[in-house]
Amino acid sequence: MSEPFTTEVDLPAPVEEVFRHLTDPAAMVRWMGQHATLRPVPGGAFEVDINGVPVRGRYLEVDPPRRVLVSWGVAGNPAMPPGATEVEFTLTPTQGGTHLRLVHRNLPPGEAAIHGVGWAHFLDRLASAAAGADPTPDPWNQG
Amino acid sequence: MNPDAALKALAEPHRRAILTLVADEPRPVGDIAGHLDITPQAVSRHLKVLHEAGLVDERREGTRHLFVVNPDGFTAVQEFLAGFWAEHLGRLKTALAPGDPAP
Repeated sequence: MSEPFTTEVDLPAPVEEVFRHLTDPAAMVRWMGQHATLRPVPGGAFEVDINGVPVRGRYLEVDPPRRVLVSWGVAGNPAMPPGATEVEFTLTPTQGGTHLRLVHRNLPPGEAAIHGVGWAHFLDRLASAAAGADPTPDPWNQG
Repeated sequence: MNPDAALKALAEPHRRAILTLVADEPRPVGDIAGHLDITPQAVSRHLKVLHEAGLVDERREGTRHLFVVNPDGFTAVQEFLAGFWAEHLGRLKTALAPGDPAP
């Protein structure tokens, strides 16, 4: 197994508001994906379409407003099926808002690399969007 | 390693299957072929592509040639992941900024 991927960020909002952005579909798509189906109870759906890539999983643990653990995979990708990896969000109140720690784990080397194909696709589009270009229709969305 | 070469190498299903096999343990060509529906010659060609992409290492044990995943070859994947989450958490930060209108 490869090392878990870990990153941390300070956010300018209270934990309750950050938690809402992890569990409410309208809030989720403000920062990730274009369509989300979320049922934030253990075993409930965690489904986010991100630039045409159908990320599919379930909420595994929901501890409002401090922690969310979801499974994360890609529908139609047999090497990276729904539920193959896990993403954990841990929220800690700070003076200025919220400290968020994200851990993405269970990426075995071969599957992680395959997963990487998806990330490369995302990043190309993100780079275009960040540069001010309107991303063209997603080729993965066509046909 | 070369990310483009790695991604191209991974675009082929047999090569992904080979990677999964050699991620578990070092294996000789014949053993890999025995798990797949392709010839040892085809396995060798795929291993060459994977090796050139930095995804697989060759190892000798006596007279045996074994192939195994090269963990360094997956640095690019970690970088992709880092980029993905950096971008999205950046968007989350913007979405949560006081007075910031929803995009």
